[in-house]
Amino acid sequence: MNDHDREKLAALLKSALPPMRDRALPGDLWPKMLRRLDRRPVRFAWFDFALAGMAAAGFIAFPSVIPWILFQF
Amino acid sequence: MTTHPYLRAYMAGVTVPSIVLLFAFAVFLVVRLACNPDFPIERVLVFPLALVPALWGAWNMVYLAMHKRRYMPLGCHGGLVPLFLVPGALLVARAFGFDYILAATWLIVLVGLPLAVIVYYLVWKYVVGFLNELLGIA
Repeated sequence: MNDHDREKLAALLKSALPPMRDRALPGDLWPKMLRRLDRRPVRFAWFDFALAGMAAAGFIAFPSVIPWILFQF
Repeated sequence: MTTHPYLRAYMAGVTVPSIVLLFAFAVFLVVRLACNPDFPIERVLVFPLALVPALWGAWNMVYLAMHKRRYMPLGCHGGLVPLFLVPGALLVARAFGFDYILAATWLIVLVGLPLAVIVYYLVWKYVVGFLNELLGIA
């Protein structure tokens, strides 16, 4: 590989890689970090489990209600 | 994300019934093309297709507006939706003449209303609440 080839290769590499103009972060990341820390995992309350059980029992007891409920969605 | 909170609330509200609608459409296509029923199945889709998603979106916008003034939790707010939807659904079913398909007797409506309230409460509390949080309006 002679000097001419090296220069050509360097030029090709430079043209292939976009220049790094803006190295600064687009914004402050700390508020996002705080929001992430504040986020609580989803917890199902016992009351909701009881409600879901009641609904399931209702659907099993009255299956003809199911199309009517689906119609509301 | 601080702009257009009401638009985001509408989008979060519309998402759940829109996803359910995809499955409803699939069932509709199978029933329509495979079984070819003798009742007007297209009319049944009018209510869930046109009115329900818009009502969900608007109801979530109402929640956002009321939430700033010490309002009830999201699940309870969503549980109120069937109280508006059921009379509307009955009216539409009667108007389009397919109430016999849904077998909308008083027993079905009386049993279905509390079940619908429970389902709506749970869906709004967990799914719409998650979407609201995701879109930054929780």
